Amino acid sequence: MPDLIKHERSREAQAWLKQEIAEQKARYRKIEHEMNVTIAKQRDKWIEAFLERIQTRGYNVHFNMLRKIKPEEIPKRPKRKFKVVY
Amino acid sequence: MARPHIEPFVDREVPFKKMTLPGFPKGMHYKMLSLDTDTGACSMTVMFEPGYEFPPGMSYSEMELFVMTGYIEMDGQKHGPGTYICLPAGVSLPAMKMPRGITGLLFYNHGEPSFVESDQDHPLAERHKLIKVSAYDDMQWSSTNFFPATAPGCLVNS
Repeated sequence: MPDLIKHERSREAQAWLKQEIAEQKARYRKIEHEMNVTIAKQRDKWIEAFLERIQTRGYNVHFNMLRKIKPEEIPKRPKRKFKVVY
Repeated sequence: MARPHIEPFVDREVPFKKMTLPGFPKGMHYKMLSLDTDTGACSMTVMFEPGYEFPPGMSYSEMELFVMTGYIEMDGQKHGPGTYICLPAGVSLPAMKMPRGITGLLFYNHGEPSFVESDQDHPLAERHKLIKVSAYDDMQWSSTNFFPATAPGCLVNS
């Protein structure tokens, strides 16, 4: 049975959707710029700190159980650019 | 494409916009959190002005509402913060009043926001799937029952 009942999308709804999509794309570009340019260096430091932390303190695998990650389990940084999830 | 996901997104930096879609009474404001560019399904932070009223009506899409502040008057009862309503597509809700306004989270899961005034269910509606609970009062907090579990102290209402 339907989660969506078939209906004709009105002109107003189409225009609203178009506007919202444009705004969402603009929002994404702004966030992407902030993550890939503005805080890129700080992000690299966060990643380094995280990788060190899971090797020394451990990684939370279940409830309050931590497992120390071995150096050989640490992934190599890929050559491709970071992609902001979208 | 599937519904995009932007992380992190702080909606406090974004102003509320007036909801202008046909069918919605004036006085509803929203901040778009995410939107499926194909279907129009979306997640929004919403604010209804004091005195806002919905006549009896339904949505073409399944809809979920979580009340964060304020209360809704419906069927002679007050539904305050923590109220969660999952409204299947086509199921008619009775008239709702928000004397002091509310803020909440509103999800249209399968299509763009819609409101059709009607005191009767659509023929395809599945009323038995309607959920209306107070997440703060009617439900027990519990630890997760899936693996890997959340860290101690993190409880869920599901």
